This record gives sequence, structure tokens and C-alpha cells, in this order.
Amino acid sequence: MKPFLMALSLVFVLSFMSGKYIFISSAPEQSVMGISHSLACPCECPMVLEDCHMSCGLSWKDQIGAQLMAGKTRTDITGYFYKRYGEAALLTPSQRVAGKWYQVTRGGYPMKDMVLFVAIVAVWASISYLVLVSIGEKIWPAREK
Amino acid sequence: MKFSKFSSLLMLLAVFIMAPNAVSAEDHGKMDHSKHETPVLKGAGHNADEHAKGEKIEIGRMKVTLMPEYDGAGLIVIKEGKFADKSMFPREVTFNIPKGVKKITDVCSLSPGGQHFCQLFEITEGQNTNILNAKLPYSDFFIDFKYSPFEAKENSTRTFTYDLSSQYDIKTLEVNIQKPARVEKFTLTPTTANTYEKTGYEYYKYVLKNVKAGETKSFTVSYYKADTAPSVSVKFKAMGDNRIFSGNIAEILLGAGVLALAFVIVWRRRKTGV
Repeated sequence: MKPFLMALSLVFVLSFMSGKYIFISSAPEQSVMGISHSLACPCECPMVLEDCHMSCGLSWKDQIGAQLMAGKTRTDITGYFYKRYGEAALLTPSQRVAGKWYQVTRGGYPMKDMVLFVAIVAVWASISYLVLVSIGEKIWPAREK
Repeated sequence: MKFSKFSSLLMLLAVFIMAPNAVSAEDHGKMDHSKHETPVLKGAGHNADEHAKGEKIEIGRMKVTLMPEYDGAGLIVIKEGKFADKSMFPREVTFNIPKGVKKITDVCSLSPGGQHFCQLFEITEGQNTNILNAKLPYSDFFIDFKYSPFEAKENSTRTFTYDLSSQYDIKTLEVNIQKPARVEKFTLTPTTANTYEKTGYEYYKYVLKNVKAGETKSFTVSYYKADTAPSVSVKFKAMGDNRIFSGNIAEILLGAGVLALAFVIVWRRRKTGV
């Protein structure tokens, strides 16, 4: 039972932590970075556009900026990219995870952030595990003994 | 509670959960990009030592763009160009980067079709500059990085010198310096009358011919700025900070977690009487 609870705690905390980072942009929604969070990088690399600094990616970001200045909304702009560039602009959830993982492996984040991420996951997964064990002991006291 | 097993499991699951179909940066070099083979991994690449053995490598054209306080408090440096002899690639090449730069945003090679092949790289500390080492599959390259050669304080004069040097001779070196928004007393040393405007910013351009390997060209930029906000507003910022956490949220989450963990452990010990 305990290994299962360990795995469950870990999956829960890790999914929450990475899911928040991967799927929710910290940039304002109506900004170049916020909209880039929903588009794929067009530069033959598996990144999300927001992490892409190459000329082809920056050219797309310039287009987003120009459309924002023209008063278009996030939906209008992403819709334009999907219609005009099709699959090249589309970002599926698995592509998004793959893009962020690529960013991790290319050393795209400061070591301090990586260490903090692992430490936070470890601490909160430990808490979740202990809480689940306590609940388990309360529900099935005999089995635990 | 077996924490050693728990932490091993944590690390393993971290890898599997975060990257179900993921490609690592190392794998990326091996990827088939639209049926274009990435030759750098064939093992045919030369290395930088061969350069020292008398092989002549030359950069045909290199454009360096300096953008102070563009989307943050530091300086963005973009180097793009092409080596003179395409037939020498794939190979290992080295670039000089300023002392203090330990992290590069992108090191990419461009295929003849314009596709970007971003590469893994190493940075070593040199005597006067740091050295960036990467294997490039094609002769066209693109490198960009950020660093902070000056302190951006309110109502202050920012001054910095960018020393540009190369491991290879450069036939044509173009340097473009972007004038930040809302600045006064903007001066450049050496001066140039060659200016142009692009996307609402004023650029100062230098074109230098036949720059020798090891020769240093210095550009000093000075200006007064009252505020510390970058040129581009957050809304139009195009380059991310490459941070996982913003502000102090990580420290707060970790601190709260440690306190909560201690509380739970104490509570369980009291409950079980151990």
C-alpha cells in the first residue's frame, strides 16, 4: 500500500507543479508572450513559441505584436496563425510537454530554479504521502498494524 | 517511511511524467528535420584544434546586434553570420563571448533552406573572454544571449563597453546598436553617422572590413535614463526570462512546504506516541 501512496503523492504533486508551469502562462493573456504560449515554434525545433528566440520565431512574435497593436484579441490572433500556418502553428498538449522538456534538457532554465522545483516537489509529495498514510491508517487501522 | 526509495521514485517519475514523448536537446541534434539529415552527428566533424593546426577558417560576414535594456535590465547580444567556406562543415567552432556570460539562449546553425538546427554547446573561461564551443552542421550560424554589463538604476547614466573579438578572421563585420527608448545623451564610441530606423527603434551601424582573428573592436555605449523600465512594454516583450518561477514564489512554496512537513511529522509522532 505504501509504495502505491508514494507514487500517488508524487504523481499528484508533480502533475500539479509541472501542469501549472506547462499549461498556464505567467505572462498577461493579451501580450506577445501570453499569446506565444499557445503557438508552436516555426523554426524546426520542438519548442513552444514563447521559448523561441530565433529569427523565425521572433518574426512570428513581431506579427503578434502588430496584431495586438491593431486591437485584435488573443482568439483572433491564434485563429489567424492556425488558419494561415496550419499544423506548423498548432500545439497539442503532448507537443507542449515535449517542448518544455526540450527547454529543460537544453539548459534553458537556471540551475537554481531546477533545484527549487525538485525540492518543492519532494517536500510537497512527502507531505501528501504522510497525509495519505494517516488517512489510510484511520480508515484501515487493522491492516496498517 | 523510506525516504531514499521515495526520492529515487520521485526522480524516476519526474522523468517519465514530464516527458512522455519528449525530445531532449541532445536528441534534437539527431532528429530528422523535414528529411534533412543532421550531419554534425556523423562523427565527421572537425574540432577546434584543427584550426590551430593551420587550417584556415574564415567568417565571410557576421552581424552583431546589441540591444541594451530592450526587454529587461541587461543587454541582448545577437550574432548571426556565415563562414566563408561551406564545404568545411559540419565542424566544431568556437566563438568569443564576454567574460561573465555563462549561459547562452540559442546556438543554432541554419540549413540552406533556412531551417534552424539548435546545438548543444560548452562554455569555458578564457583569459580575456569566455569561449563558446559548439558543433555546427552548416556554415550559417545564429547565437543570442543576455547579460548585464551595467546596472540599471533610476536617474542614472548607464555606460558599458562591448569588446568584440573573434577566433577567426572576418571579411565583413557589421555591428548594429539599438538606441533604447526614453534615453537622453546617447553617445557611442567610436561614433558613426550611419543610422537607420527599424520597428520604431533607431539603430547605429558600423561596417568593418577584414577584421583579424584575435583583434578586439570595442564599442562604448553611454546614455542617461530616468526610469528602469525596458524599451518594450511587457505586452510586446518577445523574449522570455527563461525562469520557471516568477518573483519569490518558489522560496515561499518551499518554505511553507518545509514548515508544513515539520508540522505533519510532529503531529504523526504525537499521534502514534513514538
